[in-house]
Amino acid sequence: MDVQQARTGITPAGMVDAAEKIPRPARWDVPFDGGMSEASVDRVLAVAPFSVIDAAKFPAKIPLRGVMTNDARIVRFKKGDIVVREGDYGDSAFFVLSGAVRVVLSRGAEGGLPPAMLGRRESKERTFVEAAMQLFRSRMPEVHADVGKRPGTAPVAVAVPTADSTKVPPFTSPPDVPPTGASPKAVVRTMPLAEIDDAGHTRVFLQDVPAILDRYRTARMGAGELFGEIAALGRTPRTATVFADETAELLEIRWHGLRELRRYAPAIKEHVDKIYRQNSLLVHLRETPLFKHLSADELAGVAETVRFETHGDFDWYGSYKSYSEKSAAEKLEKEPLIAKEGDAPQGVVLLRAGFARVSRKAGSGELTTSYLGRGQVFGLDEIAHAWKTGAAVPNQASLRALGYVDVIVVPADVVVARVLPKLPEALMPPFLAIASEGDAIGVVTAPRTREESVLREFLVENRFINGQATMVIDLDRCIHCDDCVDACAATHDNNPRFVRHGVQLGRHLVANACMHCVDPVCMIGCPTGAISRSVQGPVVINDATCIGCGTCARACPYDDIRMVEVRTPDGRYVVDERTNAPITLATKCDLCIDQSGGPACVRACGHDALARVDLSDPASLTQWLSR
Amino acid sequence: MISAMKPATLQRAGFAAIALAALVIAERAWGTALRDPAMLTGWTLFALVLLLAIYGVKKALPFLPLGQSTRWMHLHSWAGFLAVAAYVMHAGVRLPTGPLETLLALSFVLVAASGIAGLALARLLPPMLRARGEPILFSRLPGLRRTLAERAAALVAPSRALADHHRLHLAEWLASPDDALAHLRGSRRPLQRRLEHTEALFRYLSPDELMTARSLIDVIKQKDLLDAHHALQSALRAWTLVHIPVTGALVLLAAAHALTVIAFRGGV
Repeated sequence: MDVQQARTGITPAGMVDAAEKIPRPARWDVPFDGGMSEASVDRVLAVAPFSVIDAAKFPAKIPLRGVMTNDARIVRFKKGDIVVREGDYGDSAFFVLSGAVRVVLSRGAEGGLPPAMLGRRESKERTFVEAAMQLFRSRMPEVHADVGKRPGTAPVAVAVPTADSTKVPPFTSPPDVPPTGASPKAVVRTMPLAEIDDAGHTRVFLQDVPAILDRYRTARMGAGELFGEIAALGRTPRTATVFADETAELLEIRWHGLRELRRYAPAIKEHVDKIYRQNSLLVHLRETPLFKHLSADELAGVAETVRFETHGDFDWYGSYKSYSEKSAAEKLEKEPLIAKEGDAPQGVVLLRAGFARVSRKAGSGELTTSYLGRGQVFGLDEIAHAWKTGAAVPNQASLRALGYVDVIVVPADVVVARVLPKLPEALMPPFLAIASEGDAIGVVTAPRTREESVLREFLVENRFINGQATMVIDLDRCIHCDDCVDACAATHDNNPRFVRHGVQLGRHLVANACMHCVDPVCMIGCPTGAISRSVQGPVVINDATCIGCGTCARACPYDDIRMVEVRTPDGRYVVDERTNAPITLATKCDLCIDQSGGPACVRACGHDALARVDLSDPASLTQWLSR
Repeated sequence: MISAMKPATLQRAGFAAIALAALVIAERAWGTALRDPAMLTGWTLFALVLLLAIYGVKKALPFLPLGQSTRWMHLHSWAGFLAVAAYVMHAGVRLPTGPLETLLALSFVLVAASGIAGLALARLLPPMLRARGEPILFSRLPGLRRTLAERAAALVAPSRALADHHRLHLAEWLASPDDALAHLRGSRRPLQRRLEHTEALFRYLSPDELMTARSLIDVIKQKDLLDAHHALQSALRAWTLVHIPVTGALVLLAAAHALTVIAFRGGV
């Protein structure tokens, strides 16, 4: 009998009687955007390549029609509407049903569309004088002078306010007047306009498309073409901006559906793999030290043999909270195995996206010996050892997917035949010290490494390794003076962008502050692209284009984004003129990207207790621990 | 002890020792040259006091790119020790005479003593706080305390015995922070006493009341935890209530002292 039963006297049978009975949650309980109609599905399935897919190859539980009905939607774009932005993270691919879109081929900070044109924040470090001027700004929290002055909205200063609020039209209202009320700041003048389409989707559109066509190199994509699938499947940033060249109808397929299509429709898989092989694979392999020494022909030969695999759950952040409450053993059980300790190595596993845990058996559990991120390899040591000694060596550790992992597997025979013979000695892995089962327990009990070992397990299990600038506080040094909080408030609209609270392990506290993740799931689904990774690296939010929908705040698995009510410079709250609901904006740590001298929180700590640590790199953690 | 110091700490201590040695040598040389050594040590001390006070200004302007507070803090600590040495060289170990000198000496001693106390507390108390579980924000303590007090009152309401015990022994304690000195010493005796006092009632309670009493025990433990956080975090803040305002007074008094010296300096 557990405590609850002891207190209530309710037995399990009684609990079942009293419980609310519901159908077991199923995969398509929440279809993509409400689901497609039968007629729309018929229309899509009549178009190539979907028309040639053999529906019989799909399992009964996941029929092709079901995939289309629940994992896809048809979206309409007007000329100039942005479909995807370069640098965004997305979880869907697009198929052009009718009309045409245009891809901006000029890319990157030099040649691509300017960030402001895409609705992003352009950050510039303040000069000393500009920094000093912050002393004279409003003392009220969250004063946003530009909130009511968006292009296309009526001048809000003249809107009749209630006693303590200013009413503004919704941020996404169609622009029926020129931006007369716009602030003279460049970011407002050049930001894209937004509107809501008939289906309720927020559309951000580019102004002056002819000028963009003149100035930037673009390519037109017409009906029957697919784009965005590599970024969606590989969880990598979109490589180009795409906007509607004329009125266009696109079939948007979310990641889940794309995965099923790839799995059960060989033509789609071939198509996606072919595009990846053509566009990205060679570059990716070339960037990996293991393949750098191969000639172009040899590299192309290797590229022909590689296998693409995805492991884990793309939407891991949705179930993160329930996952984090599980025991270590349960968590391990939930992590899909990519390679198992003791098995013969199948090949070199190269991580394209996500994180993987490297672990060895220790007692009745597993000891996490390391974690791997994008660009790192697993399995080379064993294959190289066998190649050098002639004795087969099994995997010395297991590799498990943490969340979502996208990998390339180079088969072992290809590594032996084409890669190792040409590998320079400096890159050759050393001979393995073959471990026997249970050796790992020695690491757990060794006092010198215990702290780091326990901390590593904690960081991996809580997925904090996703953070590139995680706020870690040493509680043995923190004097709770809140200078860090005050400094953050002083540099961010008098409202701190983090909470000096969080998850604790021993003397280490991982505070609720944006970690500027390697895999920034908060960026998936932002309708206006207001949240983006800046050129400098940190993930930032553009106040001028944030519409306060809260998508990012809900997506952040670590609860590090907060929605705040905003005020006008004279202190009145800003409310929606139609509903009277407060206008909120998403706020989070921006790593003081526009302050000179680095993050104010770190600068303010007088006791060396607070640091922003790149936990995606195990060496950074070691360095901080040994400071 | 020196071998246990980290290399960076040793380096800073080395710099401070060199600065002190330089001051001692300069003072001797000043005296040998038939000049007043008190002028040298006095102006050095005044400069050090200004340097120490600037840290407060830096902290008040966190948006200015003036470097890491950790480095400032190291400079502040070692310059503080140097200032104590300079003060002893300047004024000697004697009781001050006259109102200005007395005020000046008193404020210097208060600032130095509170600073050293703050430094010691900053080393000693954080590990004690950590030993008391997860961090609790100081600003949230009153609210949490109030919630606990309300929970206790609601728990004991149906039981006469528990309500009496609560009214006589717990209600006042639950309403405000207590046992600060015990918590600063790391003592658990007040908690133990309250738990034993409450558990002594157990034999007189019905099964339902017993369940309530166990919940009350949880409340007592949580209140004790809040008190520990209050005591330790208050101590971490309290010394600044002396250190910061008196520093302001010290700077003014030192400036007045310097002006007086300049005004009454005799020419040769």
